[in-house]
Amino acid sequence: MTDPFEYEARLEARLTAHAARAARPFDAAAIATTAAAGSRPGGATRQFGRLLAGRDGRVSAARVALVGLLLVAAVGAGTVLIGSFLQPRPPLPERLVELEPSASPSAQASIGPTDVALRGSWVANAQPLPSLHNGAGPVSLAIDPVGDRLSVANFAPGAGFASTSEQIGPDELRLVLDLDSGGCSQGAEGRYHWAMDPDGLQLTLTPVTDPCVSRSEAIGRTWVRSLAGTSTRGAGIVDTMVPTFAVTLPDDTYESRALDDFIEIGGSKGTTTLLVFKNPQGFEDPCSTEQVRYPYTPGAAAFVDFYRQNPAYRVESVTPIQLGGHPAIHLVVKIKADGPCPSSDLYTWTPKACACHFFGADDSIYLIDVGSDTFMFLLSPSPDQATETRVMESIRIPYQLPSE
Amino acid sequence: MPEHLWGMTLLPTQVDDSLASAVAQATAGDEVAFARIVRAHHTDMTRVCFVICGDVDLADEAVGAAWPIVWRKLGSLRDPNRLRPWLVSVAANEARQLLRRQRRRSVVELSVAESLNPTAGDPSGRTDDLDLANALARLDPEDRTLLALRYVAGFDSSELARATGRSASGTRARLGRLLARLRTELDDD
Repeated sequence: MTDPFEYEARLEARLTAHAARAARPFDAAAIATTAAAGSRPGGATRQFGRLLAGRDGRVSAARVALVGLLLVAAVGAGTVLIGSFLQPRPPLPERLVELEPSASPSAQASIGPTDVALRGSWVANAQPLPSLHNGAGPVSLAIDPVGDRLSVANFAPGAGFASTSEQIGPDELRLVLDLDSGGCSQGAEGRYHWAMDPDGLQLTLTPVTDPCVSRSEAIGRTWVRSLAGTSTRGAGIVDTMVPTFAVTLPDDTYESRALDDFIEIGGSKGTTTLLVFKNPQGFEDPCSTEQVRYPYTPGAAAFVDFYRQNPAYRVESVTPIQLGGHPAIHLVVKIKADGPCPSSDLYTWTPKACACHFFGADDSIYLIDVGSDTFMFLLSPSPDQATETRVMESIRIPYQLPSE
Repeated sequence: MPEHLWGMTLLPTQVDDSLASAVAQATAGDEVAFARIVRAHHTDMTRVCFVICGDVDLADEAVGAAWPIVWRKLGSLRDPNRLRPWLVSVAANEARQLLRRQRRRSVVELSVAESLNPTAGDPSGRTDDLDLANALARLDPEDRTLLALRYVAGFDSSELARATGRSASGTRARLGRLLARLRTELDDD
């Protein structure tokens, strides 16, 4: 057996190498500025005051000059932003129709990056397209967080149509192909009309004019917002689990993280996070890091039974309900103050298919039986009851993607 | 020569004059000086948080949450020579809070495997790292914190005791048990 000191040195080397994987480039100045701004009470409204005075209360000429520059920049940016947001928008048509092509689309004044509401990932089911000779299946559209890049995926090899995108009217985009793609040449410029339903779940792109026929066939369709990625609205679908489901969260910008049969969708405002588990399975001992699993029995009722026998929790209420047309249970549990575990980290459950583990807490859990599967939805931390009910009642499972 | 667990001793701390003055300036509200501190310590803090969280994005989030706290409380740091352990402790604490608050502590064998850099090293090295990641995932967050502070941040026994709120002897005993457990789990002899 290795000498203990030698073993320790080896472990240290392994841990150091492991930890090194986390190192990424970073912008120290930006982090410092953000940290200083984030610490100020009153937020942005007090930032100029702090910039002028510093923490010691002194006002320097350099600081005054800096604030002046920032003010000029802010006024300029604000004018552009307010201008774009205050543009009156026509009511959404019931069914979009192709518009007459403009004689000179390029001559139109540019407004700026693609509307924030469009940025993120969109999905659809595509039927075979004559121009691409592709089969039917799921496809996706991505508009980057900055709003100046658009591309599609899964239509056909070499047909991603990566384009520079630009908003050229309140509901019109200009796309310029970055490289040859899908049989079209670099620089091909197309214009598209866009319309979104009121909750932001669906986006319809309609070609106004595009010499790149294959791109217009690929992009011109109704898309559904995916919450499995970055989303700028709360309504969307999750297609990383089977079956696909739709849910509407409070409007916010969301990021997600997916594991096997699990997704977590967290808002940037930090208000609440939606956690969804398929076929949750408990751990036998909430105090143990060994993660020995409690025997799995299908169904929401069986999961309630798991909680009832768990010595760390008290079942507060079990309410049979219907969600999305399926039988469901609203389960409220609380951690026992006199529970058996020395640590507050209670090893509680994992999706059955996932080699992972999650800590339990005082939770308001919604268990939905969909066929032979059980889906567990919870919001953490719990918002007010009205918001929680609204989110849970918005669940549509399964959700059928539009197919064109 | 590396320090060893059962013989932990205090190494003389290197005084970095430029960082000491950066602390003074940042405490007075100088964001440029604060950026110098960030530049010098951000990576160390991220590495420690990664070992605690088991996830690069969570580690970033924890360190991101730590910096505003550092900015706010920098004035409470009496000895600039203790800047590094203090910063790492703040970040480690944020990592633990993040795990507890968001309950996102989960490490999946598959996701660990996928997150390995495919261009980095030979296959056996990758397997080693995967084994280690999985062994870490099975530990309590408090234990991962102890390992990260000791072996990634290089804390000595008194710094460990201060950071974890335990006695130095209790910390040593806990580390000893942890090492024995990892040695068994990693079948590392």
